[in-house]
Amino acid sequence: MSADVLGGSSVDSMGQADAGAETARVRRWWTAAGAVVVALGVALRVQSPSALWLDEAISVSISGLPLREINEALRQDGAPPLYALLLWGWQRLVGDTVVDVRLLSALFGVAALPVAAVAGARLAGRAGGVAALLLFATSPFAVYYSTEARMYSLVVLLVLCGFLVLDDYLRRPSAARGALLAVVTATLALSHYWSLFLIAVVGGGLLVRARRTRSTVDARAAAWMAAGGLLFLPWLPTFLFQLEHTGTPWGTPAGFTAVLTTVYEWSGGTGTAPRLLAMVLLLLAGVGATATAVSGPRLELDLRGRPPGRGLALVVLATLVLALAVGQLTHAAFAPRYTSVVLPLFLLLAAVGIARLSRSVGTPVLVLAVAAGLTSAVPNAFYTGKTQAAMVAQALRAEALPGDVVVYCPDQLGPATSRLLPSSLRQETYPTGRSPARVDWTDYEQRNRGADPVAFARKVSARAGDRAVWLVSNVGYRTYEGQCEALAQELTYMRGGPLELVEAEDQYFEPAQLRGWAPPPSPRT
Amino acid sequence: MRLVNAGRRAALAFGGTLVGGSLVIGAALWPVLGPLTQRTPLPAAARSTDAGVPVPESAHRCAVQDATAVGSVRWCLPGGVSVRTVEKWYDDVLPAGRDSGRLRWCVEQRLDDGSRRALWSTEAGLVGYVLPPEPPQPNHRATDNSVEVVVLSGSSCHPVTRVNRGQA
Repeated sequence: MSADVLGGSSVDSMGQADAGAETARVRRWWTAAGAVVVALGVALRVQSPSALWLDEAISVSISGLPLREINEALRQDGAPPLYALLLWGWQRLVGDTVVDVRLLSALFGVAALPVAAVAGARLAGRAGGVAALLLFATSPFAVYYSTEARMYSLVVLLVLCGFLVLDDYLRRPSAARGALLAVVTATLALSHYWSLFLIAVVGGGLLVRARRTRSTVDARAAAWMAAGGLLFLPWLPTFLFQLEHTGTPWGTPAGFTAVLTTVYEWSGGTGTAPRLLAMVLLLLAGVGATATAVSGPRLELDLRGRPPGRGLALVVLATLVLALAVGQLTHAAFAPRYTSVVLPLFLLLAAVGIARLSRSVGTPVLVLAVAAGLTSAVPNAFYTGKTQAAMVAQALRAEALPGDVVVYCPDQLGPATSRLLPSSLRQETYPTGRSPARVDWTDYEQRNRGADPVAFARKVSARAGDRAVWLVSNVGYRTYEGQCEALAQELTYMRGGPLELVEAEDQYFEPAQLRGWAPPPSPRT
Repeated sequence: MRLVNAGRRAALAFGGTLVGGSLVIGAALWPVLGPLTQRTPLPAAARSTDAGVPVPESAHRCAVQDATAVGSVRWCLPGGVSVRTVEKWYDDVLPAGRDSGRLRWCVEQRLDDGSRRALWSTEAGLVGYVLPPEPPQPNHRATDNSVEVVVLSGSSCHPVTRVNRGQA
């Protein structure tokens, strides 16, 4: 995954003709335009108009716990610890409002920009550095996850750092650089488990090359990466527990076509601009991986690939295929956000592609990619439809009275909404009756399949007594098929027809409906 | 990185790509930004409907009505009036959450298309208005530039509402 590992070639060495004397004035304009684009990219990363959705709310809830309780909370959650610990410190240092907690991700996202520029320059000279900087600054995916209180912008940053550290080690091996490589490898593994696929592919690639070229440096680099596993050891018991008991019961594995659709996700999803960006990025990635010579508008391609782009392309592809294959085997769900472990390498590959093109072609293509990227990134950054939780909470604050019972079915609707409600309401989740602040994913499917919504409704109605019962729910959640509706039906039987206060809106990523049941005229529980 | 050639060609290329890029961005963002640029004011003058719910004086009965919503009437607003302007108008004239004359406050609901329904109790049933969702709301059923005056004859305010539980 490094420039050196993949052949030590840089685009500067391809013999592109120097364009000759440029007027200083025009150059200044280009520099100013580039600076404006980067500034826009930074500004977009500090937007946070939406309420926290499920995953973010869980992160914030876990990091709000005392330090000694975080391990247990993460065991139930299924996530690795690094981001939770960083957010734990951040919340105490800066605060725990929506803006505060998302600012940490923005910080990682902004920090990734200069690192991307250095990585791009190392791969493809100055042109590659500028292209990488602009592609990262305007990447809709990188922008979006810099505004989300999750670990994905940290992962992007760490992958870029890992690229540079590995490249450093391969150019000038030393124990200090090796130790740094081990640390970065461990931090990646402790940030998101999909990093393990990337680490396996890169480590495996190094070993294959070491065997083929009899390079001890490659083998030692792989050994340092493996040594990073020592830092993972303290976490291993929790990891093994999570592997056995938590998983991703909320979703299903993806097919291998997800490799292609992922590029659309990186480009901002659906719409004209994201499609255009995806096509441009795929084209650039192809050029970056295969272009061998350029002469004006003419380009020669070597379908066997050419360093350093070939290696980047192989790592991206192999990591995605490995992750999807493991997902198929273990029935683990796929979410596009997990691909943040390879997005940085893909964008670096596209930057190499830009640098491969002649200046007269590369410049308009880069401008097109930047314009399409910004066009897709702006609506994403200002997206207010992550969750309907704020609307539900507002309605509850308007109509619920102290002592009313709020039930969440499924429990996955609890974290985002419950944090916005006053403590005077009694809140619980179906089917466990526990606090809605987090989701306990332990043996989730087994537990939910065996739940009894009618019995739960009777108990909750009895507990509510002469107070109202409010149900925050939605259909379509795996492992809950029909249960939330059965719960609502039983409440209706006991308390009469509900008031539909908030209807679920499909335009939200996390829709929810809110219904309320008045106290029964005469208890039938 | 030296991205351009010297002289006029470079300047032209710079200007061209900048203008082109701006056009692409502007065209793509127009659906979002367009509605926000609507500034047509809405005078405070109101006209009362049969249901007793006021609508802006400049509103007129829409040519197309929902035949399934018995008693409800859709009122179309002049072009250029934004949803926010209509919301502000109702905040001033008949704000949700308060009684007004013979209208007793009942409840505000959010519908699945993003619209907001405010209901008051009368002797005949529930009446109120439905404000369209703020843009962008791709799945809104009706034209955004209208207000629906709803009449739910014979209905009463649900007992779970705060007003019916003695704590308005």
